[in-house]
Amino acid sequence: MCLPGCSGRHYWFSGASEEAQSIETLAWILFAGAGVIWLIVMALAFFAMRSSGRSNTEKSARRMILWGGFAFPTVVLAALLGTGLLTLKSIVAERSDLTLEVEGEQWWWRVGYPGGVVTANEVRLPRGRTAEILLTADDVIHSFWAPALGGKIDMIPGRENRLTLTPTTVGNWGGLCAEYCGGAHAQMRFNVIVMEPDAFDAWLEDEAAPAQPESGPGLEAFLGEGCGACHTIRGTEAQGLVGPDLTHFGARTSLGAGILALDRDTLRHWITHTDTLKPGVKMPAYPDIPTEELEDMIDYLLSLT
Amino acid sequence: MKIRITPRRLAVGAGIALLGGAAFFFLAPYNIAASVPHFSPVRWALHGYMQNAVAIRSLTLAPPSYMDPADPALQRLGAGHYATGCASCHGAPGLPRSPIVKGMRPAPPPLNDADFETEEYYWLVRHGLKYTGMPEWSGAHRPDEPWAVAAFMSVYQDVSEEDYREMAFGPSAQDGGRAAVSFGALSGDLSLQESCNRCHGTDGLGRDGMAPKLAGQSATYLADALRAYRADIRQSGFMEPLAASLTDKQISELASHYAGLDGTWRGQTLNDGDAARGEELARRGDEDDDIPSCLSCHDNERRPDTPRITGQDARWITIWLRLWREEPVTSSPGANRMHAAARPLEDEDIADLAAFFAGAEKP
Repeated sequence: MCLPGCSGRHYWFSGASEEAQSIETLAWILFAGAGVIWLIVMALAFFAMRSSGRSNTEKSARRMILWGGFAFPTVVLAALLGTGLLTLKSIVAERSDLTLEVEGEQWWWRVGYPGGVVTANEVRLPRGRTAEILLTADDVIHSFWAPALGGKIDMIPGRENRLTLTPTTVGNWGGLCAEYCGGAHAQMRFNVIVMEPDAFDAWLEDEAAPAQPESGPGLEAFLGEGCGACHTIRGTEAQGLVGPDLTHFGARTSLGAGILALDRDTLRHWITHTDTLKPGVKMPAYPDIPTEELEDMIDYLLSLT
Repeated sequence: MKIRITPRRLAVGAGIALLGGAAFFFLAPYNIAASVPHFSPVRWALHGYMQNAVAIRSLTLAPPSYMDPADPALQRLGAGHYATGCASCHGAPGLPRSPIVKGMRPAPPPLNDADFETEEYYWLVRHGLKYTGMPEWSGAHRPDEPWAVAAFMSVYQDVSEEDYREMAFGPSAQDGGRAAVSFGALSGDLSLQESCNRCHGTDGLGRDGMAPKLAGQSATYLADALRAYRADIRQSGFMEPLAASLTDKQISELASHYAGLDGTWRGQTLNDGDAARGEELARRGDEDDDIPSCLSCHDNERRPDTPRITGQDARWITIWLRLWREEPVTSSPGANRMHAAARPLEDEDIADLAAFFAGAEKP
């Protein structure tokens, strides 16, 4: 198998959470059961072809249909349903250690943690703790899917869906929108970063703090260009609500909802050619910012760790 | 007698028709000289068709809520433009037409006894008429503006010569004392500054809601706007004809003149709109509807070159937000940003924002 979904950070069978492992177990049971049934059916077909012209009596045919066509599928499917429901019950945890809110927007993810921490396009989770993720959407239906962790649940405007994940493997896993949501649907990605609990706690504490630094020529340029109309940088005048919160922008691993690595060059390109990188994006491109102002702004944004 | 139609006869008939048509085309027997009046059945047919077309096409038209034809300010704005663009051909109250236009065929009629509804005037002013010399509105994508001229036309017959002069030229600058309208003179004998004052006022405050306030606006912004009007990039049937002839020097003089006037503003509100919600939108924006905050850019303390909108009249804010919502309006680098900002606005949001900005003091 050499499909991109079959290895790496989007691999279904990575088993990076307890829930993904349960689903994986269920999948193997399904595959094995389906294999056995397939073999039995093939064997029956083979015998039917090889048997002499002797016809069945009406009674034996009736019995065959009753057992093979009714009783056996009923038992197998009921068992499967039971197993599925039990698995489902086990992965929708009663209690959680942490509650997150993730809102799908065209075309990015607004991620909220307890204590007013808002970030974007990056879901950080502590290993071994159960996180409850409340999923909703701002505009159209999106779907939250992190294949390695097993979650895939639709995000529906006006409705809150719940997903629980208990990550088991530290790493930077890939996530994407799994419901067509408009032109840049394919560019609506995110990262799920599973951290050791201590590191996660330290990160959350940093995120809750206001922006560092709180002044400088880069911030002046940012405010001067009106970026604060859409973006918030906590601790500054920028209090916009439309776009991603940039308070700790420099600490993120990607840009433009998981489509670019974050560095000076990609950030410069993003600010000046936004629509080229992500067609239809709500952020207008700023091709005319004076060079010095732009570089100050990039310095400032990358320093927001 | 019965004539059978055969392919042969059909071909002969078509040939004769073609030859006749070609003869008419090349020999041109119908006299198109303006010096010879139309053959009367032709005149009757053309004029009747025009009246039917105007009546039918204006059936579904109605002025938007923020353009009330009974509003004297709107009528004055229309009168001002009438003096610029219409009087040349149609004459004006108390002022007969120039002899030159009387020789046109059809001659642009004096409008003293014209008999159209307000909506029909709007249609005529916006679209013009083929084969007559009546032009379409010169500001593309500005369906709002012709309502001002239609508003003036709806009261035209009750307007005396003195009223017309006061409406069109303002109380201080009178374009008076002439027996007829001079053909081709856009604004009569007014100086450039007087011509601008007709609508924007000597104090630059827009003569009771006729035109946007310019006093104290940034000179850079004003000059950019005038250059964009001159180059037919920014669209307005009022502004473009006047800006078209401006030199760079005149533009910078006008811009500094208005920038230097006292910029203490208070706008006129319309009857609808929730100013408190408008203020919330203007300061914070709205997350669910993806509306950015207006004042992050339109804060003239921080960005002196951004057009000031606090204290502008509600009508202008409404008109311009609706224009921005449809498409990026000008060539300025901010055009895409303004379009991006206005795109999510509903009519209700626009009314709320207009109520807030018109009622607010200078920031």
